[in-house]
Amino acid sequence: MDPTMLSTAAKPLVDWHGLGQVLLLSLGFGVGSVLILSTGIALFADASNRSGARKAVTQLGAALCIAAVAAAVIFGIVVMLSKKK
Amino acid sequence: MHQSLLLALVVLTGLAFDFTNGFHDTANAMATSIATGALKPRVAVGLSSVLNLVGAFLSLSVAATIASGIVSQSSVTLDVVFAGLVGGILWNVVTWYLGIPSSSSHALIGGVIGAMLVHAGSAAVEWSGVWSKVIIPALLAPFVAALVAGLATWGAYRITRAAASRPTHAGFRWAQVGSASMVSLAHGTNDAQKTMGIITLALVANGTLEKGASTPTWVVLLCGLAIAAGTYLGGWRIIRTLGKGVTDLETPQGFSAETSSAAVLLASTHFGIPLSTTQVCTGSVVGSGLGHGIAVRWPVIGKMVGIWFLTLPAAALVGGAAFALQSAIGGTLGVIVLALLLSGVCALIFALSRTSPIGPDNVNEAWEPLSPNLVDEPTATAA
Repeated sequence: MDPTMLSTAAKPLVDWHGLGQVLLLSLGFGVGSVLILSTGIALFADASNRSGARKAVTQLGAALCIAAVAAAVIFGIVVMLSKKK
Repeated sequence: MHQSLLLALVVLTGLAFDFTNGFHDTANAMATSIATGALKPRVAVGLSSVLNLVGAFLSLSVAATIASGIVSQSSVTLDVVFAGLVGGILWNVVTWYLGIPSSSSHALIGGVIGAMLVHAGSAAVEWSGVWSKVIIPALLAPFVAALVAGLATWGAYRITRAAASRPTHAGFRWAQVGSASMVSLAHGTNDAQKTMGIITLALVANGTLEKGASTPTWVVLLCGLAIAAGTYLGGWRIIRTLGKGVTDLETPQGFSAETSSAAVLLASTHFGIPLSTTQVCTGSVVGSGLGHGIAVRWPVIGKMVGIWFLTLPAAALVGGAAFALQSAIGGTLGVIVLALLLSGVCALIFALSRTSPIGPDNVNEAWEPLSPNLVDEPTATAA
């Protein structure tokens, strides 16, 4: 458990600042990851209708989207592991 | 003799609580993957089980505390911990029987508060901590998760609406497996540690371990195995409610819901805001239904919210009653009677559940059909 959660006496009842940060980070990473991966999936599906250089560019775009989400996943695992007491 | 028996029972009931935590929370990670067919039921619970076990070993920053910041740590005794665990386990088993996802952490906290109230009175409970760490986060968590999941789902459908359906479905299916795995891993790194902390606390209180000693490997191993075993057995009743009862899910919704849950849970871990995994995951599923513009079953959600409000007081009542009974009988006999009573009630509820069994074979059976009017006019159900 995070030590910042232990001393409640000096803190206000509702940590609005912390909650706001949770909401912003969740919106950024949650919605962001879904939108980026959805774009990758849409590009990947679109690539089957294309050929030549256009197909390669579309596939590259899809790969970049998937790589960006993979980076977010790694960041998430780092956050899990860096949890304090 | 009494102290040794009590220590052994605290360790055993701690592991039993960890087990109930596992089967109660399988739904949080895997209900959507099972409901959309992204994973077969047995494969889903198997994957979640392995990831919970891995998670238990990954994050070993175990704090030897229980309900820290909520009850006075100096007043915590092994008897209080034992009675608190009884309250938490019984509430978990009852809500499992009813098929309602509810927070295992809140149940444990409730059990400990009840036992502490009987043991040391109201002064030993830090009520401001109850508000700031349990009640207010419980009120906000579902809305935060629903908002994130609603926006994510809406965006996912907008972006892929022109794409061919087969590769899109396959893409979201794999993405959903990945996002559900993240939630399982996060659960393992978080929830198994709570029981490790309780058992370590009991060992320190008994003098078996020195204060400040690190958690023994056997405790880590047993807690990881207990939560993994519970997860593998799968709380099918809860999986069914969350996967089929809240709304009708497709793979983009399942992916959006699980990714949103993972993001909210990791953000809350990062900033030290204690949000319940169950309430976050349930809020995400609701949000994924609303974000896709389809109906959600408000009566089912209303039942869940009612149970959430009851969790803390009901577990406190059981924890308090358990402590009072144990104290009234006294000594070793009191501890044995309480342990037998807990086992008996759990066995009775399990026997009751066999009259309407839910398992991997019928977990995905259709729920009652949705009315499309429910999205825009939720009050229409009352008419």
